[in-house]
Amino acid sequence: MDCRIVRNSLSNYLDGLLPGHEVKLIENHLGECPGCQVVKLDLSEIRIAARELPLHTPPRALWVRIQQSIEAELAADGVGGRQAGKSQSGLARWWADLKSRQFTFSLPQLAGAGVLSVLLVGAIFFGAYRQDGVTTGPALTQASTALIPEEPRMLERIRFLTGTLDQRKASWDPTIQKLYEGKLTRINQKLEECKQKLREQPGNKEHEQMVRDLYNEEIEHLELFDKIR
Amino acid sequence: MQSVVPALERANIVTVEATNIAASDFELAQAAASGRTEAFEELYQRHYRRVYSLCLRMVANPTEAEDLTQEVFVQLFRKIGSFRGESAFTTWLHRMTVNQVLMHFRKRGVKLEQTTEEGDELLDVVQAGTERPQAMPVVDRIALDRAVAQLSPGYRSVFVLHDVEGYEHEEVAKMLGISVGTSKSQLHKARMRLRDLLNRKS
Repeated sequence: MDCRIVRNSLSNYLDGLLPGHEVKLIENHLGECPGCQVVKLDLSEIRIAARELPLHTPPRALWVRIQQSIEAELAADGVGGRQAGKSQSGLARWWADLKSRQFTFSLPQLAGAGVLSVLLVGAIFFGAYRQDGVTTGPALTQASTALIPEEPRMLERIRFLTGTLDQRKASWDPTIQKLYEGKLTRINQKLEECKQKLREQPGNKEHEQMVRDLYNEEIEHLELFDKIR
Repeated sequence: MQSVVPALERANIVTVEATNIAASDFELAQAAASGRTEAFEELYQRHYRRVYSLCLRMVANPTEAEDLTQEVFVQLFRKIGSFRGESAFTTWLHRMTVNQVLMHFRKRGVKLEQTTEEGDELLDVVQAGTERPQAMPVVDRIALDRAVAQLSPGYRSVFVLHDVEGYEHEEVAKMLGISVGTSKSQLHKARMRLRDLLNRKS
């Protein structure tokens, strides 16, 4: 049997795809031809190694991108609203579930959270501008009292985004507004709790990380809704 | 970043740890379909490296692989409710990933059926010699991974689907829209090309 024919059949031979009589012919040839035997061994090694290739790891930020993408889709789905022909998929169920989550809060709870948020934002602004009676910006004055080093920068960003969104949210679908307000309120409640814990235990790394994560979550939340036009 | 608020909220329902240890992929998929965001995140944590690796091997471009991985998980989120557990979750997810990559190829006009490729002429050269002068050392997995990235999209797709992912030629042919014979032929050429690339490096 010709070497060229044998070598062209080696992959099928290794994968067990050849009929019995061809297998015999190839094996006879391999027994007599070290050159073809080498090729067979190489292909066999490649075939085995292919099953054990190392896994690659994407950047950690990918999960955040995926989350944002899903949340934006949910928001857009809500804005586009119940379009005709839109299938009732898992998406719709998620959306429905998210909507239903909003109603797990009682009215007094929501009102309380709203008041707390207003007081919190007010206190931040008031405290920032009040210090020393000087007209320094909030970021500068808060730097000295910041619970974590990034806090002034994060607050600056939050203020900017909330300022923009406050002007625009009136034009949103009421369901989207609820989604936006509901999550923002929950983040701020948790943030205030964590900040209080950090004030009680200054330098506690776990509380610092919680505060940092919550600020980041708030910024991500605001940026997500900032995409709605 | 892990979502802090949902983590705190769910504390009174079930602990994350308990979910992670006990739940199968199917149970997590069901939980995710009913709105449990932490279940979806757990599915991501379990499978994102395999999905990303599959995308990266098929497209040989990290940025495109990231984008595709993102699209796969958004797609998974949309379709999670349709997973009935008739096949393994991994099989279902990998098929979804392959479809996403193939759609990407189609959009970009990537040709998946190839009859020749640069370097194919080497296949016809029958090496003389009786020992193993041209033999590879034991195949280094990392070197093989790099060599796969150098294959043309057509060869790479067949090699990744058949040899890495374990699909049969019939499935590969159906997915790529080629004949079974072409799938076999491209796989052989891909392996021979890899042998050549690995030999050059060794």
